[in-house]
Amino acid sequence: MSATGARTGVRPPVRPVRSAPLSSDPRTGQSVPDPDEAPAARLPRASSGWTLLGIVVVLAPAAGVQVLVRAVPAAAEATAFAGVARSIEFPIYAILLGFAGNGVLSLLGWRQRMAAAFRTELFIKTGLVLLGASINAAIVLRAIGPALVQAVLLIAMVFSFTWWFAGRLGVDDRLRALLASALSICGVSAAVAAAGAVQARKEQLAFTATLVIVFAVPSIFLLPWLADLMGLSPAVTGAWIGGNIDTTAAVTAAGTVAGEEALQIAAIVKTTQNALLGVVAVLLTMYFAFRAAPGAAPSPPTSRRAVLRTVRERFPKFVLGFLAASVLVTILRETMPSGVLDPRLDAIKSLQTWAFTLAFVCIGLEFKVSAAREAGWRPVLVFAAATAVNLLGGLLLAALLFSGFAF
Amino acid sequence: MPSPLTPRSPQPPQTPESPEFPESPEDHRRFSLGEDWCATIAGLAIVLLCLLGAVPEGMLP
Repeated sequence: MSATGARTGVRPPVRPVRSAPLSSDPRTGQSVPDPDEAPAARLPRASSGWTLLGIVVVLAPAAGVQVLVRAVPAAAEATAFAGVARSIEFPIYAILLGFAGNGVLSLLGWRQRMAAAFRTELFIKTGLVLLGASINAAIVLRAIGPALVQAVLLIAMVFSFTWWFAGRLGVDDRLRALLASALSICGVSAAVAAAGAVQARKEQLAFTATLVIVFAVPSIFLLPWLADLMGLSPAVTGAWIGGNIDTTAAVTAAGTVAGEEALQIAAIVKTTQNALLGVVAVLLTMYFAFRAAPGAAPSPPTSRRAVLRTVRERFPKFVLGFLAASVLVTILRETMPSGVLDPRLDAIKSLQTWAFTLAFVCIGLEFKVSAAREAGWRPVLVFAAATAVNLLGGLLLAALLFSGFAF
Repeated sequence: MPSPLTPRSPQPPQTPESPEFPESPEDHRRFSLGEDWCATIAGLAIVLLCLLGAVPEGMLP
């Protein structure tokens, strides 16, 4: 054991963890706050004033993106950068402006106060419901079969590898569950569901969420570029992106960069994968209750009704909106004149772009690397190795299942 | 087995009040369900308003 606790992967004796596994008061069922946390360490609760200011901080860069997507290509028109300028899509401007805002707010010490306004998931899910309106229901029906097969196989492959490799490196069982869930299903939401299922510590959840974002953001730029380099079709590109990138927001950003058809497939694949979250949450609860830590996990759902309730609670509700919008517009295409319908669909598309822009700005504003540095190299190595497995396995499955897909 | 995850520096400002990492995973579950339904309702409302022609052309940049 290193005397200095340097990063050899071996830990020195640690002081008591400041947050014990979360438990509930047996009388009230309420979560018990950490008694060791000093009041001075708590930041003031975000006031509505700071939240309103945060909303302005999100809206301003989003408006700036609308300007940049026109102004930059126009300014670069007669220069050597004209081609590059035309190829930069709005998610890139949005994330970069978000990063810039993140830096400024962090320097001023205001970022945490405004964080309540940084609603990445809300914006992205609203945008995905709007995206449903631009996808023909027939495409959804044809894509959902291969998307389901890919999701089941990829989740099983990535979860198993992550669980095994993390075990070989001696990572704690609960952290293994968080990492495996986050990597194989849908990032932070899956980690949260797994944390509840296995009674993970709050620090483990925070760390896993940070790792998800740290790996997801570069993927937004990397995967579309690699797909273009390999000459993948839009459907295969979309399936690869949807099956690989951990967060729905980053999948949407990467799909937008890759093109409209790739985005449609990426959204379908990702939402299909997300829908399986409830099933995995139930299985994890059962594993931890019966095998890994009997008595330490919450009581597993043993009745059929309890299992169905858990699956229903974990099901991402925005998928219903996505499907409803797709079906509604598909029906209207058969009944409404295109001269009347098309301008209204254009309005939906504009608002979808705004929703995504807001989400991508929030990605940049929320990005934080510091928490990952504090946890040591083993979980980071697990995440990196499992991401590589995900990339290769996902590419193979996407190519097998989507190479013949026609729009 | 002790957790390998131990903060090296003073705990980062992820307080119980932080909206990013709520009090417990179950709190986030409740919060996430609310957000899901909010996004679904807001999205469908926008779709319906647009399809009804309530969003005039040129209103959006």
